[in-house]
Amino acid sequence: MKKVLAVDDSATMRNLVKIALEAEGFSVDTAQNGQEALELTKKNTYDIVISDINMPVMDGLQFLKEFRSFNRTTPFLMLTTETEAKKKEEAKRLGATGWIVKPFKPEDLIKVVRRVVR
Amino acid sequence: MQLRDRESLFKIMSLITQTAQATATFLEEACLIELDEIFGKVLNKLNIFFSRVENSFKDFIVFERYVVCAYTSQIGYSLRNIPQDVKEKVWNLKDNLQICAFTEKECKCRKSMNFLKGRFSEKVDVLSSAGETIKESSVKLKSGMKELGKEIELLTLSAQKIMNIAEIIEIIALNAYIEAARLGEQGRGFKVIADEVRRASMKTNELASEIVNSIKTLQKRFSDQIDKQTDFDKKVSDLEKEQREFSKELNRDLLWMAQNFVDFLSYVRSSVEEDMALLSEVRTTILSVLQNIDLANQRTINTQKALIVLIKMIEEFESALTGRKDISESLSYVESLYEEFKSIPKLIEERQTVARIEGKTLTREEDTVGKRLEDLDTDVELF
Repeated sequence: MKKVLAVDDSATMRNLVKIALEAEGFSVDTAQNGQEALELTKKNTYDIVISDINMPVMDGLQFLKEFRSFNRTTPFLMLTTETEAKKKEEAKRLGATGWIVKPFKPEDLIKVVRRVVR
Repeated sequence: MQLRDRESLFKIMSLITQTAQATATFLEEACLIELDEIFGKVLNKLNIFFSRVENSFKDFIVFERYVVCAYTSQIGYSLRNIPQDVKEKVWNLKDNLQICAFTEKECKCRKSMNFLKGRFSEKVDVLSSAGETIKESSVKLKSGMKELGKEIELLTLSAQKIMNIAEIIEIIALNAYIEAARLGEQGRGFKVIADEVRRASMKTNELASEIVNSIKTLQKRFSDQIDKQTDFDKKVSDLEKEQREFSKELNRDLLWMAQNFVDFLSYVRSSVEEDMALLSEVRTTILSVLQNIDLANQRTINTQKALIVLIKMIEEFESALTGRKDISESLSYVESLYEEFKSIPKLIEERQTVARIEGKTLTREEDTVGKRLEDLDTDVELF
């Protein structure tokens, strides 16, 4: 069973990702911010990380930067309302795999995750 | 007021107006009007779903009673063809097993079922024991009748022999008489013997007649026995016929039930498939509503941030107007506030609003950095 880490400060969004992916047979862990997510990624191995950008304590881009310092292979998708090219370029430079703009269709999220996770 | 100051004030006013216009749009977009509509749709879908589930349960109850009622109702069509009013009637009587949904009289369905079950096992018992008895009796009767026939044959033969002997003795006696008469006094002893022989002959004849009578009685009994056998055969045949009829009825009822059951299963399958599809639609809609709520939250937060900037701009404008602050300094501060305001929007619609207020256009293509996945409805780029 593929393991997913979903990171978002909004409980609704965390649960939404969890509901959508678990229905397709994925195992999903959740975290409320980058800091919490970073701790989880140090303890567990995930097949993919899906993270929001604007979060308290540690935002998604900082989390990505820290995560890539010890993991360069696990796919990392940004799931955000942000659409600015500048932010996307920064995420790309830090090692993000892709960018999904909220709101998303659950079936689209599943397609992207399947495509990215090998 | 110097011309430069006046221009600066106009510039501040212009920035405030732009900020206010954009903020007003943010506020409008953050309204939950759309959500209200979506909630309405979800509620409607949920209502349809629960009605369908309720109807499925109703159908199940109706099916249960309907199948049981097959024995008394004799309606004989499948569940999906039960008229709605009948279905309603059956449903309303779901807890009342004393009343038949079809006849509205005392329900005989369960009684019929039990009766049928009892009758069936009773018949099986009777038939199996009757079969054994018939077999046994038949064998005994057959061998008995065979022996009886042989006895009768022997008796008939014996009687005939006795009668023949009696005839011979009669002739001998007659000849003895003639001889005695011819000898006169000398043949007197002979006559005594002839008399005795004749008497013996007559007794033999009587005996032979008795035997013949006995044979006749036996023959009659034999014939009666045959009649009884015929009657017995008829009864067995009737029993077999009844059993065949019963099996035929039972088969018909069982087939009827089986057919109904198959129909019902197919009906349940298609209902469940439809319910599942509807449920999946409801689930998707709920997920969409949740996302919209989340977005509305974000829009509200962004609007609040924009309003705070707007208030600061107005306060700065007031300071400049009242002369508490240098107009050029105020303009510079308001310009920095406007840059801060422009960094607030995150959503594409918000950014497009700011661009429009500034007389520009913003397209999704300008934001594209990676490879956009065109086959999806969601805005996705892979790097």
